[in-house]
Amino acid sequence: MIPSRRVVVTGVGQVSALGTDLASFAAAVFAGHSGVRRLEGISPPGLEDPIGAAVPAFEPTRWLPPRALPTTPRAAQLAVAAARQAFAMAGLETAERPGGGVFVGTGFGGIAETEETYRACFAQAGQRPRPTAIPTAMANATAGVLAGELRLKGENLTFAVACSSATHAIGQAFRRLRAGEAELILAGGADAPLTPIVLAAWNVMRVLAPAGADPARACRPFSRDRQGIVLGEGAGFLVLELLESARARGARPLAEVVGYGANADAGHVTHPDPAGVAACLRLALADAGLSPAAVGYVNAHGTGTAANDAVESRALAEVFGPHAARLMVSSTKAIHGHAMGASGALEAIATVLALSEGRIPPTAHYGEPDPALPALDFVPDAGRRADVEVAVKSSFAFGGNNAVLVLRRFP
Amino acid sequence: MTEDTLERVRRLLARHLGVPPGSIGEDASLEELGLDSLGALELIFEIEEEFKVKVPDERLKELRTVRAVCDGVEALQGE
Repeated sequence: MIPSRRVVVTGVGQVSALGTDLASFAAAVFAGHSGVRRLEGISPPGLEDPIGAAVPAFEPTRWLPPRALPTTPRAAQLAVAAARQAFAMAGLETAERPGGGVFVGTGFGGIAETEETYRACFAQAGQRPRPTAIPTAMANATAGVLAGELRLKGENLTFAVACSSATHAIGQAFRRLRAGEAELILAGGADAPLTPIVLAAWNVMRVLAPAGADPARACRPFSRDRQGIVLGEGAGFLVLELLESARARGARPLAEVVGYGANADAGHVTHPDPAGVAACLRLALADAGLSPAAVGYVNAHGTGTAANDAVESRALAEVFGPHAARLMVSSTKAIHGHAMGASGALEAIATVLALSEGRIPPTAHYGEPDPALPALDFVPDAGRRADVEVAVKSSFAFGGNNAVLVLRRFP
Repeated sequence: MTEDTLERVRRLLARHLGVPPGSIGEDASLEELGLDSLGALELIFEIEEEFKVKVPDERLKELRTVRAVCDGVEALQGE
């Protein structure tokens, strides 16, 4: 099917362990500089030396008035910072937009605030939750705050799809725009899950990478020495709009969104299924009307766990067939960690930058290839210059949930 | 209203509004100061914790100005 309307990205903004502006993010992504550190002042039960990809030196009052802070959970604070930057890059003023949508992916919503409420109330008999407990805990807090701050009065939706949340939010926004059901959608994700209990809970699933001698290098996707995920936090947002309206206001598109695939493994809740992952990649390519050979770069889900990286690389080898040998595949989670519901947005931004700047992010800390995985080009350790026409961004989530985006260089 | 009560109420309010306590007038209404309904509930919650009082629902609507909040707190402390 030929899409009736073309959808472009006209602005991106992010806040992550790599920094609170896009230039810091781009520099780290292309150089493979890690934002993973020891987490100070936090004691997750059962986890002795916690590490994470935390946002450094985040100042919420730079982005929000003080009176808004008590009702704005950390995830939403990060989101406002990212979204304001995306808006500025798109050349958009904050103005009332009756048709402007907000699609937010989040895995954990207001988990930090929820955890603090429970801690306070369980720790002391008779301690009441604060009046802000519900507005900061609710899963759609970020979407509501963004609408208010940026005056976007259109469809306001939250996608809670664990690790593929933001990728679905962007894909769903793309579908709405392509169908002519919206004029502009701010789409992305936000999560702030670096809390004692969330870290402890991931730890007992035995998927967290240990700190080791150098925490910055703890996450090593697709490597023979990979040892698990590093939990992160952050927010990423993209301004998606119709090409015709972007042109009408003189905005410069950074990239075009051309395909989206979404499906379920309908199997195990935590173990990914190569057949489901492969099917989702094929759905996205079919949606874009492109053959596998058209794709030059895949920004992988690449969590750094034994299971994900094996399943994902096998699915890529199967779907891309003989072309897999010429495909570049990398995971930027090595440096910005796994920001859960925000990860798909951070990585979509890295993918947009790869297309618009003609540079491919490396898989940092790769070291030695894993002989058990297909011999793909994982862009080990160092980025490279390459003009790629089409790129894929994939995300896979607990619940057996898959999401894949196809992006094209513009023009 | 005593100076002590006013001081403590102003301090709580100032933190919410992000302004110096001294800039908060005694007769300013909470609404004029920029507190929305949820912000006002947060303030009352903190006042209950600070002064160890319980503000009954039917008294909430009386607490419209800084002075009314202070007087209301002192009345509740005396009850």
